[in-house]
Formats: sequence, structure tokens, C-alpha cells
Amino acid sequence: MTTPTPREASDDPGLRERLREGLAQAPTTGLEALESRALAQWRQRTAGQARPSRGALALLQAGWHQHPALYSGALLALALAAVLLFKTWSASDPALDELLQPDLLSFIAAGEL
Amino acid sequence: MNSRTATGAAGASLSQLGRWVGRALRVPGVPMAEGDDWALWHAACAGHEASATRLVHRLTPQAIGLAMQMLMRREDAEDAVQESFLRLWGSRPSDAHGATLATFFNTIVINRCKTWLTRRRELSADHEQLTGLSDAQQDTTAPNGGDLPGFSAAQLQAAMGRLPARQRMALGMWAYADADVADIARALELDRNAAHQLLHRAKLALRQQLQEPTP
Repeated sequence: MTTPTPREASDDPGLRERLREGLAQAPTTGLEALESRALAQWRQRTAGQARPSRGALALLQAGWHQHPALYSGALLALALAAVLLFKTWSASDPALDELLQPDLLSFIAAGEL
Repeated sequence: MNSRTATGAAGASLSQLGRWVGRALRVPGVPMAEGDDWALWHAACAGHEASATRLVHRLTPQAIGLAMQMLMRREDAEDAVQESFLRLWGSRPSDAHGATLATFFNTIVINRCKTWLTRRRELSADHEQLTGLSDAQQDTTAPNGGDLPGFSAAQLQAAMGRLPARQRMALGMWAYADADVADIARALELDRNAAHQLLHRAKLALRQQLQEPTP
């Protein structure tokens, strides 16, 4: 019977391990030219980016790349907090408005009455 | 009791902080552990040349070995690896679905090799039909398991080279990219049972090639 069962076809950890070991023995010499070309492409790509990012900005960008959902959530929360704060500050206070009204004496002093 | 819990929590926070500070203060270019490949990738994508150099140096030997197993031509294999690096710089970690960077890169290399094999018309159905006959013969004669003798990277590459392209692809995906039968079926546009058969035959054929005495 030549038809493999699913288990036979997918499970053969010994063979997989041997293949990985075989690949890990791949020679590491004579690859300088290929590595140089790959790095030249990387440089070209990096130089082509709009702005070189360094320091804290690079860290932020890397973090954003790694956890986009987390960073987007944090940004949204910050924006929401800023809006709420702005609304709180800009809301008119009736007592303050009352105090800011010129009183009668001020009008008399100003010669308007 | 509460104070003990609080002390434990404080200790955990401190060790977390220590790890974070350690990462933040790490000197660029200092060797890192295997698990830090993704950190190297992040640094390389952020423009850090030493990290890019280190990552290219680390990934190239296995990538070219894998591409040679799939394509069997040095020039094509080098082009496929170069294309794979370009894809790696432009990819997102979420594409890797939790895989290590090395496994993720193997997946990219195998995909590029698949494109090359399609261009060379080695993945066509006609070829598969022709090789199907020899596969059927292999099934009756091939050893079904047992210990494999020791083999070098060159012997493995030669043994892979004697398999049909589709079998090489299936084996490469299974062995180096953690692909299961469903993944292989999707990638090679086969139904699930055909992918089972293909992988099974590929394993038998490779075992047979590796167990044959080297001339």
C-alpha cells in the first residue's frame, strides 16, 4: 500500500532533522560577492528612504513596525486624551465669565455712564 | 503575605527594567544570541549597517545552500537569494506568523525558487506526469525508513538534484520552512491528497538517493 496516512506524510522528525543538519553544513566560504551585492541593495534601499531615522525616532519606528496594533492604540488613546483635555480647558466657566464682565463703577470711571 | 507579593512584583518589574536597560545600552556590533535575529532585522531596517552586515553574513550560507538544492544552478540560486534579501527588508514581522527569522527567510527563498522553477518550466504538469511514472517505480523498491548514513551538504545537494522539481519543492518546504501538507498543497496548487502523495514519494526518493553508495 503506497498511499500514506496523514501522519506518515507529515511526521518524520528524524529525516527533517538530518536535512536541517545537512543544510547547516553548507560552506560559508566563497560567498563574499553575493553578500556584497545583498548589502549594496540594502544600502540603496536605506538611502532611498525619505529620511534617515536615527536614535529615539528609529527606536519608535522599529517599535511601531514590531507592534503596530499596540502603537496605534497608544496613539489613539493619546489623541483622545488631548481632545478631552482641550475641551476641559476651553469650556467656559459661568462664574469666571461673570467676574470678567465690567461692573457699573468701571463704566462710570470710563465715562460711559 | 501581601508584602511578599508586592516584593515579588517589584522584583519582576526590576528585572524587566534591567533587561530593557540592557537592550537599550547594548553596544552596536556586539555579537547577539540566535534569538535576536529579529532584533538585528529591526536595527537593519532602521538603517544600522553593522546589523545588516551581520544578518546578511548569518543568513547567506544556508540560503544559498537551500536555493542550490531547489534550483541546481549557481547563477539562478544567487539571483534568488538576492531577491529574497530584497523581500526580507520590505517584509513585516507579522508576515512570519511567529516563526524564527531563519525559517521565515527560508520561506522567502523557497518562494523565489518556485518562481524561478516556474520560469524554467520545471513545475509544469507535463513534467509531473512524466516523473509520476518513475515515482510509482520508486514506491515499490524504495526503503521505507531506517537509519540514514552520514552525508555532507554536497551529498545532500546531489541527492536532491536527482529528484524532480516538485519533489524538491515539497521536501524543501517541509524540512526548512516548517510547512505542513496543507501549506504544500496550497503552494503547489494541488489537492490535499496529492500533496500527501508528493511529499511521501519525495521522502522515499530522497532516502533512496542518500542510501545509495556514492560513486
